[in-house]
Amino acid sequence: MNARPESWEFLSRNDRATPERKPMSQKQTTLRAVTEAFADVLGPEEAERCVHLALKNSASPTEIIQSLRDGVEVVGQKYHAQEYFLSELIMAGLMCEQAVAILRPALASSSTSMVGRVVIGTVRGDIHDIGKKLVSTMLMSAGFDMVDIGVDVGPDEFVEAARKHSPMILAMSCLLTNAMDEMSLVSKTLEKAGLRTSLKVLVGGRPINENFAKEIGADGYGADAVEAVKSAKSLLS
Amino acid sequence: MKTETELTPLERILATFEGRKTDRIVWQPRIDHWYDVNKRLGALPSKYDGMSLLQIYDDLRASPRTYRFFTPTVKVVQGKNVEMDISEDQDKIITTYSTPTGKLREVQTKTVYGAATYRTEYLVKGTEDFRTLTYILENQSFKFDRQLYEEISDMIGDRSEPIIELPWGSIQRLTVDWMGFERTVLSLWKHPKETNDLVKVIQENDSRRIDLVKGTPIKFVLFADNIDQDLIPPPMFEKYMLPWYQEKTRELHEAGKVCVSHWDGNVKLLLPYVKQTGLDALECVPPVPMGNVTIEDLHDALGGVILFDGLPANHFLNWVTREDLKEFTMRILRLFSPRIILGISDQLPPNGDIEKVRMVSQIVEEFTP
Repeated sequence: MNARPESWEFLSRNDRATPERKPMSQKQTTLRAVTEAFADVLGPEEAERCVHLALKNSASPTEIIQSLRDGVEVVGQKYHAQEYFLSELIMAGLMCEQAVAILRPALASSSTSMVGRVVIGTVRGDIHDIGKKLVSTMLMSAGFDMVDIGVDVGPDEFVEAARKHSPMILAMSCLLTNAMDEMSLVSKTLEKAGLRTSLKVLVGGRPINENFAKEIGADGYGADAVEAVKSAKSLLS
Repeated sequence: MKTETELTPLERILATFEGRKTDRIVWQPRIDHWYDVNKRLGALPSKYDGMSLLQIYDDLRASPRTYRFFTPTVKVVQGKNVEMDISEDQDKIITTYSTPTGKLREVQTKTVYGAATYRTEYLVKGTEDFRTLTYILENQSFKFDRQLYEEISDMIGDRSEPIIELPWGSIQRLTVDWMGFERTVLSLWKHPKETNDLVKVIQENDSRRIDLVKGTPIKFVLFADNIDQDLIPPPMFEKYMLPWYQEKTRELHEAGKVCVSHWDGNVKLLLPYVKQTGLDALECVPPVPMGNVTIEDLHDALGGVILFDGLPANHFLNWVTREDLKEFTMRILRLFSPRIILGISDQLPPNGDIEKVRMVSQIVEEFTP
């Protein structure tokens, strides 16, 4: 396993002990390497190398995606444990994008089915997108088909995106308190358009809490990117 | 109107920082953004039609936080081979720098009815731009506009203390201002030497600005750093921000200045560092439910460091009752008094209730520190 570049060491500390390993096939070894590359946040180049190596050793795209997800789950756990921080989530996100870009052609032609489609956007009056992108990446790595409609998105644009993409979940993000009212407005606009009952609404962002989510009639709430994935999965179960 | 026995807000602020007794806690809600947005929309309460921001503060019996007024007294002077151009239309502000080493461009898009902007194109796209930014920073100088300072001091009077805002310090300048968080993270990953060399250039430039500020009559200096434990996690804080604060607060204290820093995100993991920074006060520090610290945690961590602000901004919105705001206000006053300049964390939102601001003015007037 490649060590992190020295420059990365100051960003977080990686004290995970190397467990004892049973003998594995070459394919299993390369899949484990994918998991560890993601869990240890070794960077996009390492992600690319491990994915190619796994493909070369007859791992299927679906198996590689599962290994990637296992690694990203560790990232989420470490983030919650405050061993990893936003910088690691960002890097894990870049790694996921790199891996999915390599696997996408093969995934499209395979029988892998997505968990569901999510349309995600930051509401009107707010331009923060780091949180949204993290949620999008974590949901993508969990098997959701993501449609990111950007930032400063008005209610009519959310409705238009819902019509166009028929998502199972519409996810809204905001960081600014003055943008919170927009979430309620989107919900009402979806109702007026006759679309509210055809999807689930998931909300999140720093000023948002569970009470607010309930007050505006949202179906789910995520306190952070990791919780958003749990919430999204439970909305579809 | 001040009675014979009452202190002015300025006297109260100085007493608070000098450890002297004060007759009242200072109530200093930041309502600038609320004012800017509602003025543009024509939605200011009718009684405020035609009134300036300062006049509204007087009506509310509150003190203004004055860096909006005093920060322009320190002018940035570009080097003679650096051409800076700013163009603006109804949607965007485009800033370009032309230098012998190359050109840089930043685009800010207007939002919130034009009362605010956000960067849609960062100035620095990658390491290829480091040389040009270095040229700009190494050739910049600063000057103090004393005439403007005198005019503004006369205008503000004893409503408040003059306070000047410094731009984001150290690595935060790249993260928040010039490169964006993701690009900075990648740059530190892939090009650590070049990125850290650039941080040194930024710090040298800021040091020249601070040297100028030391010689001005402005006593209070705000490091406008937007500290958040996600953007600056503990390892990065220890490497970049802590040494920066320690060095600069030492220098500024020797010059008789008071040092404040703006910590407006989730800061629970960074609170253990506060006493090591040398800072005299923290501004903002949103408590639960806006941030991730309780006011009790904050009180324990600050020790003798003074808190500017403290009332969560969402308590000024419709879905929090006046009773809940009153209860929170009393709790924070009892806990922090007298080591607090009360305000809103982070500021009054454009859809905030200005009459709740007035209600807090009343509470503060009736509270004995």
